Amino acid sequence: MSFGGVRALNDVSFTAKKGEITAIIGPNGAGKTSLFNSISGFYKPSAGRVVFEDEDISHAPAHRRAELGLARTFQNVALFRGMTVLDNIKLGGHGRLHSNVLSAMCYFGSARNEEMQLRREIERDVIDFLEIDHIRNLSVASLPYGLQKRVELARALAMQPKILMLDEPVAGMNREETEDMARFILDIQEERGITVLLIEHDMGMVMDISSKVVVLNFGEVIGTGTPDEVRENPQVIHAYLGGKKEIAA
Amino acid sequence: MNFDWIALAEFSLIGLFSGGLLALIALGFVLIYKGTGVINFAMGEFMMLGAYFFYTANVIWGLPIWLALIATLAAVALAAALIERAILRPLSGQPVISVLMATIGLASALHGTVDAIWGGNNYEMPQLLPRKAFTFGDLLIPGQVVWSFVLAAAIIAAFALYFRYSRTGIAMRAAASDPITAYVLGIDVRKTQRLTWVFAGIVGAVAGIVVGAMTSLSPALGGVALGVLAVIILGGLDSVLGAIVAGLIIGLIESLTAGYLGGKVRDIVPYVTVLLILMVKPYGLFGTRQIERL
Repeated sequence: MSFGGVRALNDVSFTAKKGEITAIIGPNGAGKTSLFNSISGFYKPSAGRVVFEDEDISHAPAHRRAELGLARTFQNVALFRGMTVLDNIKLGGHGRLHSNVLSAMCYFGSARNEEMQLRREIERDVIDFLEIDHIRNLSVASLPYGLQKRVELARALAMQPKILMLDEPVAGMNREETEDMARFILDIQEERGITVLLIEHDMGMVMDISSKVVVLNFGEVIGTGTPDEVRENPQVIHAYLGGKKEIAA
Repeated sequence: MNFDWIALAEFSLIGLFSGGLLALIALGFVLIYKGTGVINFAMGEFMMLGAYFFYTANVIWGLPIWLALIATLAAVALAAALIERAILRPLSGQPVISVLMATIGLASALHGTVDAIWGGNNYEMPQLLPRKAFTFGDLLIPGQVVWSFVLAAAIIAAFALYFRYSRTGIAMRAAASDPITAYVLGIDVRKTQRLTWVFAGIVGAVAGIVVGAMTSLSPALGGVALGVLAVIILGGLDSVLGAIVAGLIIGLIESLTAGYLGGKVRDIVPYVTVLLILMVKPYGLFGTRQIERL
């Protein structure tokens, strides 16, 4: 996937390799979330392209990109608060179902089959996988923050994405929750071959699980490479950490 | 002097039963407000359209009642979808007041169109609901009032189930509560908003046909929905439960006022009551953030 030249982002261009975890790091305000918004279709870049599997999707609306296989989570948990965990997760599968309003309204025939199949898939691939069976019927508003983040990941997985974009998946989590989340992300990438794009400030996690790191600062890419390369890149150390500390491993 | 308990019971029951219809019309307002954040001042005109279409299909063209009903609902649904596409969507993102003015303008445009096509005369509507009165002991309740309540309750319950359990219904709730996130999940928010208008149009048309049959058919029918404003303000703009409870309360107040104080004050007392309640609860009885979403 290549991407170039948005206003808050100046001439940013990078490629995420299929089936790998690519991390995007940088100080606050570097343009990481803007980059995600451009890729998922919220922001219309004034120039530049978003290419997904050799297809130019720069002009596709957000819900169309979701159907193509782009799923994301948000920096601030964006679950539907009045609904249960299960309803939230099922909404992730919404775009994949093709029965129309009328047949879905009547709830029989193909609509019913689709619905049942979706339910089975969600049970196996999402709820059991992320170990959230015990909270399925609770309202999301009642859950602790760490679990809300996990439900948001579950909803994104229910979309059966080809690319999963995670915006600070472990922000505000304790060590144990962070390790759980890192394990889930690795499993998603290794077992299912889903490409992961990751924005994260937790350097330990980024360096552990990513195969490629892109460093943004003031809307520009100032370094790209493997975690080791980025760690040693003097420009990155200077801009990102004020040239004093080393990046913790 | 003996107090007439029978009369009190009759007025109360008639009031509660007629509150069902008020709640149904209120549901039309609440659907659009929740789904798109707009107060649709043309709700009464949807009722009017429904009644006129039904009259035309059934009386003028002579279609059987069920066919006329289907044709009417389809026509109003189409009209609502077109209105959403032509008027509301271009205004999305504009200040709320502009959108409100647009729905008021829409109301008078529809009003004028109906007047131009059908004229300002009163017509006798075909009777959809059985008129045979119900008797409970000494109490006598007009049949239409009871049946309109049953019909309204069935429609409201159907919508409640639809939004609670169906996939599209859940998607509509999601799009209403957070359109941006819904968009990213692959939900076509424009489609759910269009569907919201279609549903509200259908609700309005059914209410219009029933109200028209109970009174008479004239362009003034649209004014009925303005009376329902008291209901949605009382219940809270974004609460279906509020619409139901407030519908019953206003129905009761209207009936008791009409019964004891005469028809002239009937339209005033509900508003005075609402005013008093709003002093204590400014967001209406149920219009809070905690209330269960539709």
